[in-house]
Amino acid sequence: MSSYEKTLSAKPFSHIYIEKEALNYQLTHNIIDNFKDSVLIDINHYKDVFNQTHQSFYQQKQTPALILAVKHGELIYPGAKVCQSFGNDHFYYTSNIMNCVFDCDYCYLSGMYPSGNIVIFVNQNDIFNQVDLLLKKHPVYLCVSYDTDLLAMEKLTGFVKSWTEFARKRPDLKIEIRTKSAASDFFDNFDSGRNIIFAWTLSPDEIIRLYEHRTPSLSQRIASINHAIRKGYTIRLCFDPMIYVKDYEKIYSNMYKTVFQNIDASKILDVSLGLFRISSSYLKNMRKGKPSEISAYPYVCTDGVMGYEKEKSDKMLDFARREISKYFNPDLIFEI
Amino acid sequence: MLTLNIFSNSDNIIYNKICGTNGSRPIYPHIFFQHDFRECEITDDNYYKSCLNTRNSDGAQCIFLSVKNESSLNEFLAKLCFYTQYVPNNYREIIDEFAALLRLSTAMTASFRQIMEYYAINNNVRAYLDEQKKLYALPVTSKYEGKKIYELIRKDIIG
Repeated sequence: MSSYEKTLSAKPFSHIYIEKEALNYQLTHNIIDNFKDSVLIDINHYKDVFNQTHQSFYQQKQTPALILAVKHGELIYPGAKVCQSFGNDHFYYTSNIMNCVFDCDYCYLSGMYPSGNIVIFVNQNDIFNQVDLLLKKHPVYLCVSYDTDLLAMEKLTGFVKSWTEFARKRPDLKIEIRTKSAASDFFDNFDSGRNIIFAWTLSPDEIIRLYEHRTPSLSQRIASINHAIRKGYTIRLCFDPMIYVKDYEKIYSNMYKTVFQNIDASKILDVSLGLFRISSSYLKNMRKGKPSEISAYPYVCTDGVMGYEKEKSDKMLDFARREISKYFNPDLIFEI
Repeated sequence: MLTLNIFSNSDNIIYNKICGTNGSRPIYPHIFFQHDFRECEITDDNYYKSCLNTRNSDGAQCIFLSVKNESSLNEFLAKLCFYTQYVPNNYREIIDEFAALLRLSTAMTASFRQIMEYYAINNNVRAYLDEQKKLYALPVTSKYEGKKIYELIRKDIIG
């Protein structure tokens, strides 16, 4: 987008679509209060806007509208096979929010959703109720920030605070909050809980500049991690997805070194390591929407999942494992 | 593609919700630009049908507006025309011609297309393939030779 286009573009959340039912929730009104100049449009169901045909995900991503909705039906889903369970038996995920304020070229959301607009489900208590039902059957490992970045949206929604308060009272529940955010003040205001894992996705600055648009730099993420560590939070580092570039060995080894020179490895719960992979149907949509270096790469399809060819995958993973093991206990590196 | 549906009115209006009278699902145009028009919804079967038809037949995004005079419209259009749409480079023909010079099989031609689409994101495909043509003195004389050159190009581009 040119600077002129940026000047003329609508501001993010210039339009807020609100389900009539969502008006019954205080959170809806709290959110609206942040956007006094936005145009409010009433809707019957979020899918009437979000699932319209002939939308441009990429155009909406530049000037997203906000949709406030109430989610019904199944609210907790079994973890996907392309995601790491970290050895947990009962692996689930849920989404308070659909879509993300960040704009990463490799993100599967652009292949999964028809719209780049952001949907916030304001009925968090209904999700909590379904978690409680599951907890009656068995312990639960629940990832709550896969289809968005909850921490980056915290000032608007307060969802991370609610999740941490909910999880702290339920020892059989372990939650993971995945983020690229540099938000630090959250950790000043709330107590930690051992069963609440904050998981930062870390990438070399070269990859961040090329493919992770609008995200904090590596040093900003490291600063936020250290702040969370000082406050006693449980931290996971996710070197996932690792992206192939010609000089990946140099830029990734520099990154691992920077990370572990600045973060005390003994304070880290575990590490995840994974290469870029995506469902073939999502990749097809990404290629159709806006080809990029990431989507156009000639991947190999294995059981419906597109990834780097085996020889390259093995080489990249071996390299990454070897490098990370210089600084971190290899038994605690989870690979996918 | 963006289609503008313009009507004459006493005020400048953009319609952000277009409803039919029979209770069918409303249409919500994505208003991705700043503007000085008033926004409101409209319930009108003609507008609704027109919007639905444009979208379904052309796959276009629709913006419905009413303007009070020509200068309001011109001002609006002047702003809007600065928005650019992504237009993919169409290299398909020259990639396929090159694959034929290498005598690649159908499957290998498909793989070669994807490699070149990846290369095309930040590079000039035509210049690159012209260079390779000279380098390897194409066309090849055997499928075996073509396959070897394909592997060299593949390695050069994706490592």
